[in-house]
Amino acid sequence: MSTISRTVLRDQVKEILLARIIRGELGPGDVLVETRIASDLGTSQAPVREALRDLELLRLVESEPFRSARVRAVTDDDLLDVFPVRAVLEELAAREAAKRLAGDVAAIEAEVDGMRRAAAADDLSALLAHDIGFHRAVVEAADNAVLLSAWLALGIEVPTAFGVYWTTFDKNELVAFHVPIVEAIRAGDASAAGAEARKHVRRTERVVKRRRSERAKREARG
Amino acid sequence: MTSVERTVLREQVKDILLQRIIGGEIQPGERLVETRIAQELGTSQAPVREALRDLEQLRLVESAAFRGARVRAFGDDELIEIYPVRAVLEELAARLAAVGLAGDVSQLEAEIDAMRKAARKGDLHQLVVHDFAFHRAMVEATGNDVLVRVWKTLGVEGRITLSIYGTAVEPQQAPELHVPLLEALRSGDAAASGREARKHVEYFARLAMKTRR
Repeated sequence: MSTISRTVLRDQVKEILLARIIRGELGPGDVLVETRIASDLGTSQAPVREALRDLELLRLVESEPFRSARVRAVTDDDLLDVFPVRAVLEELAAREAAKRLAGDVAAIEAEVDGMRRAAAADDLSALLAHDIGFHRAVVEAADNAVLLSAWLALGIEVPTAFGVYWTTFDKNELVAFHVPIVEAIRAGDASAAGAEARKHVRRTERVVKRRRSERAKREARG
Repeated sequence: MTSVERTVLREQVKDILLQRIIGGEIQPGERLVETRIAQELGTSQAPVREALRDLEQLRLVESAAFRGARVRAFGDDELIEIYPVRAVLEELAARLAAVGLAGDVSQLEAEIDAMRKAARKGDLHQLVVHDFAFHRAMVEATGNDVLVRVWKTLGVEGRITLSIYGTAVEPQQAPELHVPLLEALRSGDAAASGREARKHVEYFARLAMKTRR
């Protein structure tokens, strides 16, 4: 097999597993058996192993020596740790992006268009990819390597938070949430861009908090 | 050799190399050859190897397989880029820690005292250790594991090392720069703590800009 098709295969396997985790078909603690996934998808074990390693880097999957990989359990408390950190990093990123891009938001807008197409096609995995792609594009536009590596270190909790989001909001509404950030960056208004980016992260935080308190209420009643 | 002497030797080698890197005697990209350094300083290779590993952890040196260690060529950009990121993260950390600590700043106070002791003795190594420990303790006091993990990617220890070993800050001055932040944290005032943390980081940002050539 050529290296290229090998890389593509690995990404495809990763995408498929990611989509299953996001849709909840694979839940926290579920075992991911290499041989079973390989025969299920009709590939060899190598791309599956690599895809699992990628997912582990994203902290979506955890593994221990001599045991199979499992889908990581992320609690609402874990998630809630992410939001304040993400908020300050993305606020800084949007401010810098507004200053540096001089109105050229093509790369960021392309991700919003991608989200729109994915929402229309009801393609959850592509919607996730473009949603993350949007935020990454904003962080990259800030042109600060330290900021980018700090943001990347936020890890998995980010995509998992997106998962939460989707069960709460309509897909088109989700796409629309990104527009004010684009517009503030296009206008070159650093403080508005920062404020919109912060608001965007805080909105997701509120959803998780609400979910947690509803769960707690249910348990208290139960 | 006892392990104490061994540790001291490793720190001495590290200090000498640091001074040379900061003083510009060793240039970015220049190779650091273990055997040559050991011979020149009259030590065995082991403390040199360990010192190089310490410098690598501080991200001042990088090494590649079969190529040996080199002084990292961090551009001016990288030196400047860290500050805005560190400022927002430590501002957030201070706000959260002001609440989490509930006025108990004994650990942070102990680090400042240890910094003062090190400054009096002119022990730059210990000064860096306790300066870094102060900031880490504050970030850890937030109880936010994500914040701790993300903050660790910044390589703050290397930055503190450059400030202390460089001529930017007088050793005696370094502990005192932490006192306003300590007092804000003690009072439990989240907004004031955040402001002081930001001011602290921005002070070093300005120094870094000034020494930038």
